[in-house]
Amino acid sequence: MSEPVRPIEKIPDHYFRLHHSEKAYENEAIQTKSVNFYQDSWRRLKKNKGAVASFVVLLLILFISIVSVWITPHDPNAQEVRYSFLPPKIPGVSINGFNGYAKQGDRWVDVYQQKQVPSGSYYYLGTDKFGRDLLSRLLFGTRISLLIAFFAAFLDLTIGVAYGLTSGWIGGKVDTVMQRILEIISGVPTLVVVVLMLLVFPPGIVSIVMAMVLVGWITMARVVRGQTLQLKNQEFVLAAKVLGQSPLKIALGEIFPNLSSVIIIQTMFTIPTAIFFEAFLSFIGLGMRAPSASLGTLINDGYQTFRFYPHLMWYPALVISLIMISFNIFADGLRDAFDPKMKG
Amino acid sequence: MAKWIKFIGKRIIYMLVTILLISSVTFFLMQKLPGSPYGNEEKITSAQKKVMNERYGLDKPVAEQYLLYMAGIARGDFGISLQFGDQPVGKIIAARIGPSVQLGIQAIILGTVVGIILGIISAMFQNTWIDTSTSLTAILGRSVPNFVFAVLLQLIFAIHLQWLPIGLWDQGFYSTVLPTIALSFAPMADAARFVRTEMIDVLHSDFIELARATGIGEWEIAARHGLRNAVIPLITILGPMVASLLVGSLVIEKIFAVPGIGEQFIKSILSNDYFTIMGLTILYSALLVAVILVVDILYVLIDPRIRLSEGDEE
Repeated sequence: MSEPVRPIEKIPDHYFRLHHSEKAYENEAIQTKSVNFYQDSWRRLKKNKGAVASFVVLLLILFISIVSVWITPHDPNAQEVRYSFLPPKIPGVSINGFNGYAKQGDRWVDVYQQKQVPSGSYYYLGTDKFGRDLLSRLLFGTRISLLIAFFAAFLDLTIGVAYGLTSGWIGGKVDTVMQRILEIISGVPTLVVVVLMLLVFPPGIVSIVMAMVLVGWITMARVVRGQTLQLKNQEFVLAAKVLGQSPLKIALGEIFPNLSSVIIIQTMFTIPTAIFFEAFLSFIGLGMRAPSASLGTLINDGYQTFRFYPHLMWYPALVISLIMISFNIFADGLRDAFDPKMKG
Repeated sequence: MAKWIKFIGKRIIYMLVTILLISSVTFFLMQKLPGSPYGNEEKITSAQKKVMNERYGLDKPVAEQYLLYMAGIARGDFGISLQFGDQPVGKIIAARIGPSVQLGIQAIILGTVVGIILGIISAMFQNTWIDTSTSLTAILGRSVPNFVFAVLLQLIFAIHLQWLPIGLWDQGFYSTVLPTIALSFAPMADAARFVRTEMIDVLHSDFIELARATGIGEWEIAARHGLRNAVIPLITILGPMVASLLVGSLVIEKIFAVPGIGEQFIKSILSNDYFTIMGLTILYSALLVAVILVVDILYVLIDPRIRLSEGDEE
């Protein structure tokens, strides 16, 4: 007995308190619903104001370009040479430059009156050198540009994922050979391939898409292979193996779903690249042929008469910039949402 | 050392295979090209055409033409231009490569320097309005097509303000300013974005915390410790940067009427000048492959964690 025992009755009563056991349990219980990966990413994406705004803008552009299949103010290809180079005229607006007036010399002149356009006919964004309505052509061109971009992105995705997944999953000699092939192809400048393809094949949507896909799938293949290599050694894949699933089933059923975030992100970056490339090709004179319009051909047409009718170039340029900016911001947002560690 | 020789040797072999592949594909595609290199075909008689074909070697069987062409390339002979006054393609390229190289180098220097500065500032003021506005600039640089940007520059600085010439390459440095700025926009955006991410990582690392604890100011930390660690990895994106610069130079040279190889390429394409197209294609590919090789070597030199034997796993 080295320590004196403290008599228990000496502890004052107010030191004691009832233990609210039930409340304690409640505090420890998990109150929120468990969120899976996509819900979590979605929550992070929603917090990103720029990404949400871009998403809305993109949906809007997509919606308009689909609706414009049926509703356009004028026929995009109808030529009316008498009414060429009309300035924009919007009903109810009386700001110079948007009311049918254009500056001739120092004075603002009503061009619609000059060219005897019947009153009540409006060209919201003016007309081009053949008297075609710019707004209708812009709607039409946006649709073609988006179509090319989505088509190219889809093919890039399909080929890239198939190649990358095969290469990464099978590994060994197959991987080595496939990577060497990739290395050789990636030394080919995209520019050169695309230009050569367009020289040889007849101009049109299919040729442009094919030319872009020919080298475009490589990035996707690389990304997918890298991710597959990482996933390959994880426990859930091992578990599937131990359970005796066939390699093909593991690749498609276990690995592929886990690739979806990188695939989505990569695709979101592919689309603006494709839009840019199409515009670039049209600008140097290798893209879509008249009378079809794309954003690139519209910019190119506008550029020809740029000194005198700058609006013919600015409107298509504005639309393409808006689409590209929205896609880029949205893609950045998606990447941050899927992979918060990679913020930047 | 032996490792190095093996590594570089292997890379050079890939490089040659790539170039060989590209030149062969280009050659056979040229055979398929619709139209002929003679602009006034309906006016020339078949006898004249025969003489011309003989002169340019177009009468020989394709296989022989191919072998002759390849042998020529190996000697550095790219054939004779079919359009531009019978000059050897090599000579045309040599005369035009100067402006393109100057423009490219100026653009990449301007772009990366401005990009690095923007990236660092962005990272130092992370999540403030400064960061937001520099990031927005970077996104604009990546999104707005460079030909739109180029025309905008022309409009503001050449037409309205009349500070700089609108195009051509005849006023020395002055005429290089606008095309350089227009071309530097894309590398600027890429560099800014990349450096920002790297810098944020570096600024949160332990050795920076230590530097902070010793009382060194933020700017000095960024300049002395952050910069090196954030900027060196930039060389990894040099390859894609140069590739996009090649694409960009085509339109920029067209818009500003720069007498460079990009402008020549467009002209040759539009006039079916087979040998010039092929020569320029090979030149572009060689350039890109060489840049990739240099980047790979630098990468291994700088980051010892990357094993030299990486390609030898088999």
